[in-house]
Amino acid sequence: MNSRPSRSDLRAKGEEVVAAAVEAVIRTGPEIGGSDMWGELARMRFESIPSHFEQFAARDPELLDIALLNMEDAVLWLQQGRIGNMSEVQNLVADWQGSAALVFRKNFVAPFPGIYSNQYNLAAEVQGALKAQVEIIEASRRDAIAVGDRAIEALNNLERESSGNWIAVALSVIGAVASVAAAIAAAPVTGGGSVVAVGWTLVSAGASVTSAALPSQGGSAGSPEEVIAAMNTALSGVAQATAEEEEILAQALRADVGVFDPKDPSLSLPEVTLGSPGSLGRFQPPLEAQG
Amino acid sequence: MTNERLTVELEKLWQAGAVYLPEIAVPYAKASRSVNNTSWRDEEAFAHTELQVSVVNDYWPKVEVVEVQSPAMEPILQLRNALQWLLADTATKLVTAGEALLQIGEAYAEEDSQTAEAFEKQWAHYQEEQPSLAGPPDVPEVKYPGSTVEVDDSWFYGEEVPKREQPTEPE
Repeated sequence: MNSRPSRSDLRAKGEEVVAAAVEAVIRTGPEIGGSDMWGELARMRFESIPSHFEQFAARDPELLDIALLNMEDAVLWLQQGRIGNMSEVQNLVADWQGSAALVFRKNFVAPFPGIYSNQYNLAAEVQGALKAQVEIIEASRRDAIAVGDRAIEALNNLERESSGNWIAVALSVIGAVASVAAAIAAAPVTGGGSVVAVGWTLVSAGASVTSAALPSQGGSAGSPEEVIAAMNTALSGVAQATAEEEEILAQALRADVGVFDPKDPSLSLPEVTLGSPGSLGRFQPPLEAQG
Repeated sequence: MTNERLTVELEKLWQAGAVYLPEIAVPYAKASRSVNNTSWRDEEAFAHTELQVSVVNDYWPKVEVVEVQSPAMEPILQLRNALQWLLADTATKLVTAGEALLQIGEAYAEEDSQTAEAFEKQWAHYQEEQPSLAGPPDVPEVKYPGSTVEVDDSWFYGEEVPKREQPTEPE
């Protein structure tokens, strides 16, 4: 199974569950003959199962993939070495005199590395957020497939004992989807040699993002119907955890939206007026060059 | 008489304003364009449909297909727009600062014709020997939030996707 189950993978898993459930009904049902009839009745009873799996294909990551690719391009542009050329600018204007030259060096050139670092980290934050949204979708699909696999395993292991007791099989929610945002926040992106760090949630080391709380699911199941009921509960749990994980991601990002201020000098270059030809006294060549 | 020290300083000012600052602006402008591409069908990207069941007149069940958007959409798009604005704004300010340095250099050169001549001569030499230092790079148009996304329809069976611009040179 690839890392992103498709809609047809999900439907096929649902159909596998139906087949296993029908087979379990026939295998464990009363020995009164007419297994075809039992099977047909069971098939009708379980026919909605594939759609329970297909619901996890409702969120489609393909457009997000395109957004993520372009966001990765943006981050790559910001990794270009020529951004370090500001140190050359610093050297080239180092000897110029006057208040405008001083302001240019102090307010424009000197803070640039810190501003760049914070902007780079914001880019990494947006990239991480898009990645998290995609991974939530992928993980929810993988969790649904895993729940289906556990249900099939449980159905295949159901046996009728002479006493009429059923072997108890437990189902549990797999829960990978519940920790996507926390996992991304736990592996922060670093870059740009942070000078004045703004604490973006997903890319700041030490930021804490909680995981979705999974409802207590599963338990024992003794008949095909109970296995399917437990499976449906587990699938509901995955769907609930998916929505909750999206909300956790949203909350973490809302905190960052609150941090953002376009006038923050650690994020935004100042407008520097260097003077016009009529006010050259504010931007003068070094004394030795003033003839 | 040529003021050699002034000639050197004007060259340095020219390099800072015409070459280095625009060179820094290029990746910023490109990044603003790549971020702009992420706005292509962005609200659709975060949406999915769900079945919503309600009760009509306290009795009749009503099932509707409703479009639901991820709660993460709004803050992601807000942060994306903030980032795009910063990138476009930074590229613009880098170019403007470069132009201002050039204006200052030109103004000093106009005051001293011999120095200006020496500077022109030196610049001609650069253009022959070090073309990388001889002229400003093309800074692409920056894209502020809300700009049109240029699309490429040659991708997959004519389906449109945003035209990507990836860095190619190894730096």
